[in-house]
Amino acid sequence: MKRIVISAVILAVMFVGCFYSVKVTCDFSDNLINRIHEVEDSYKNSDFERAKTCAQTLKDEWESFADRSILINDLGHAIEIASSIAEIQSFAEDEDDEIYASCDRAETQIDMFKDMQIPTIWKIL
Amino acid sequence: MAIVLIRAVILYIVITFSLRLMGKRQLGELQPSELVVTILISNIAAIPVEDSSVPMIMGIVPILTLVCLDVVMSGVMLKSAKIRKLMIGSPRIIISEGKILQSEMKRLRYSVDDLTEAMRSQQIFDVTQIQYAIVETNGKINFLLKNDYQPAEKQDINAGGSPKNPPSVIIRDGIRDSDQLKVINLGESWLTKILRENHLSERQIFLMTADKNGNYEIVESEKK
Repeated sequence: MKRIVISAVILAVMFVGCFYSVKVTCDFSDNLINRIHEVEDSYKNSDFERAKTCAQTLKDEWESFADRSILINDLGHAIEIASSIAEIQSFAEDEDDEIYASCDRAETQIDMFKDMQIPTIWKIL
Repeated sequence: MAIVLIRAVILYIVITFSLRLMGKRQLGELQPSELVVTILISNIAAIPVEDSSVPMIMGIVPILTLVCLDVVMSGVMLKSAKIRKLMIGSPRIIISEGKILQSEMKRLRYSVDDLTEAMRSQQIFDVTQIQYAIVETNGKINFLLKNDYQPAEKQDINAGGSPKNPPSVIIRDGIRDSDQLKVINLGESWLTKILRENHLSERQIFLMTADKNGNYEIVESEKK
């Protein structure tokens, strides 16, 4: 009986943990995407200082999450996102128009990262 | 390299804990669901050890899920005979009263070779010696020899003995098995009479077996 209770508890904890991780990932991804939009908008409005600050914040936020993201993401995907975010920061500092392409690429990658965590019937199958 | 080593150690601990959670039954004969879980665990555990880019949690979560589900399902099966029958099936008689039930063997996809191999493994070389053969839910075949071919027991010295019938489990863990009562042709009223004679209710019985001659054995439950 003890085993059954322990098993039921472990199952419940894993169930809650897995769905909680989906929620955390979605919230965090949305936050990152908003941050990318901020960088893009600031750059579009020629507010380069604000674009630089937002790019730095974006990088810091990603780095704070990156270690934990390894738990749910494969290493290859995490490296791709990290390099795109690093590019945004670099282009913001150089005031290079390539920043738009970098922002789009990072947004797509983060969107995909978020999408990968959501259990839809098609992904389960 | 150190990561692989640490992962292997962690997975060893998780798998040992998991098998411990599955219980000692796991070390003996495997039921179909247990066999599936055991094979899957070995495959899933290999992935995060082989590929360090895959998060280890991706190995641990499915292993724990499978093991915990197996334990929870075994608990459910203890409570419900219907679910137990659905999940692991029920024993099947393939030789009854010395007669091979060919249709049953065909249904179970057992060949004559399977039968003779199982006989030989139990030191039986002549099919005419067998009174009953039962295929258990784990696929093992158990045999009951005809009276003349059974090893002599003390009680046989004075009594020639009437043909023996294998006893059936008619109450397990306080729950009556009406199907088995039908198999031994004794009926519900016989059971009610026996319970009354022994001043017991079904709930107070851990195990009760009976044969076609009405011989029975009762093991009372320790639960109060």
